[in-house]
Amino acid sequence: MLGITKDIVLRIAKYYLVALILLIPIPLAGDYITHVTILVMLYAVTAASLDILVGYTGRLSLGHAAFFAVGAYTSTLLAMNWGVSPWVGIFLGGLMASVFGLILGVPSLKLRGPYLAISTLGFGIIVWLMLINLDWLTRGPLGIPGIPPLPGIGPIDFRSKVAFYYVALAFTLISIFLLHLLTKSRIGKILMSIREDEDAALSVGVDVPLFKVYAFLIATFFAGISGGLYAHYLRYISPEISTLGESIYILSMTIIGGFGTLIGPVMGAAVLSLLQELLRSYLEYRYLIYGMLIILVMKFFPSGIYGIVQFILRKVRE
Amino acid sequence: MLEVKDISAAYGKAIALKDISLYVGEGEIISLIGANGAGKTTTLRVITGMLKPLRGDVVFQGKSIVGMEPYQIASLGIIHVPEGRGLFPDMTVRENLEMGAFMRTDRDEIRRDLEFVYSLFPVLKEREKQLAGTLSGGEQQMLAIGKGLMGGPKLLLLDEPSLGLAPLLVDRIFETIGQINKEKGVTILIAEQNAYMALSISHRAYVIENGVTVMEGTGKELLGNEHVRKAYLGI
Repeated sequence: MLGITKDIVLRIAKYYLVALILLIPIPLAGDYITHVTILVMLYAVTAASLDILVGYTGRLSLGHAAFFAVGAYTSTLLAMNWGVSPWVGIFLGGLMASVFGLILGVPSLKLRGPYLAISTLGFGIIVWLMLINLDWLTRGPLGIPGIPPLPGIGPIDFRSKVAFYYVALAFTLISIFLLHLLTKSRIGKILMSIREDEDAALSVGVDVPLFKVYAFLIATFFAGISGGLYAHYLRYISPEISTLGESIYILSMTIIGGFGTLIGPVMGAAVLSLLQELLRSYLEYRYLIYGMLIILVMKFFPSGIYGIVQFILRKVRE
Repeated sequence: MLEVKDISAAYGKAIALKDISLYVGEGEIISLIGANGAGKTTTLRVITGMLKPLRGDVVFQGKSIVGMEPYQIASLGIIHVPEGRGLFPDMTVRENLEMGAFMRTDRDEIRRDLEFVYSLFPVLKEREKQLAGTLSGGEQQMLAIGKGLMGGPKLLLLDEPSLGLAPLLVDRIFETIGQINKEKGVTILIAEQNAYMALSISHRAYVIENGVTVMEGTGKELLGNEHVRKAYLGI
């Protein structure tokens, strides 16, 4: 039914095994590098999940940070108010993000192009305003400090960066692997057909509205889970994680990395995060720089960093 | 098989169809001929559910399909090959054909249909892995028809299959349309400006002018008709 053969699974799995081997020794490079890599990985999953919407289904979203935030707040509040284990809470946060995805996805089914972009932008702002104004629940702009860490397993304490790193690594590889399989599956092809031409998709019998909703559910679920991990890692969250700026940051990763490639956004997350670390002292110019990068990439390399890497690999092979 | 009864339709305030009626019998090739803007495409859009009519009814195999969603109508076996071809340009030829068979689960039949499409258009097999958007105009039209066939149509709607093609290719395409009808028994409804080609392969045809059917007859009759010869054949 999903059209995934063992062949495809094995072919893709190879790459993830290589990635795993390369990423395992990272904590040897010290706490700082470990910390940055953890954030890169959480952003990578978020940007890759956004790619399912933007790159594969052709639905531009300017509010993806809102779902990341919904996941983060859900898991945090469940842990702090009801003592739900973060292991469960993170998953529930993903589901809650999907519920919000449904709330946005269903009414915006008929919207295309700029109209959809504006409605997702508005939705993101609504979530941000809710987090600020529902202060009995979210403590408003103060944010929530003292979030419990992931509960330890046996002697392993996830307050340590190294231990958390391996949780994030497992989560990242599994998530991106699943999303990768999705893009190769029948559903992936269907989503692409919607991106290519909605009317043509309808005329071969695709229930276009249903699959658009699926795309929203999947994309927001993974964003939500990333948000949950983020919360239990940094152990402090505030409405800042749901701003328009954050959404654009994530979208920049997807676009600059190369949308519609899934792996491109992962590269985009790495490059932009590193850029942000390098430009720490010029932080106020970051959006200016992202904006310029997006324009340059769209103009000269519409397939993004992924396209550039492929181009170089091809040249090297020749 | 398909009956269009007194359909009126409009785009906003612009009336496009005024009480159009037509009938397509099982196994027939029917053409709608007429000038640009006469209402041929609009008629097809109403049949496929892409445009909701103001009035009138469309009955397919004894059931009214007006008001159904396009994908539901497609799943009944009414497959539309739209003007401009409705391909997925950034997907490969093979993926386009597979998407054509989206609704079907009968793997063996799908494989047989794929073989059939490749036998009709061997060039598609050669270009299997190429992106649809990189094909020539003629190849794209072949792919569009092939993709339509992969849907296992009972009724195939072709909108301007000759559009933008060289005369030699047009002959080829129409010959193939006849072949599909004969070999697969697929009922076909063609909207076409190239009246001569359309009439020569059609069992029957309707002439549409300004949103109204003004004439109906067998392909032969209309080819011999004075008005048709003057207005559409330029003889």
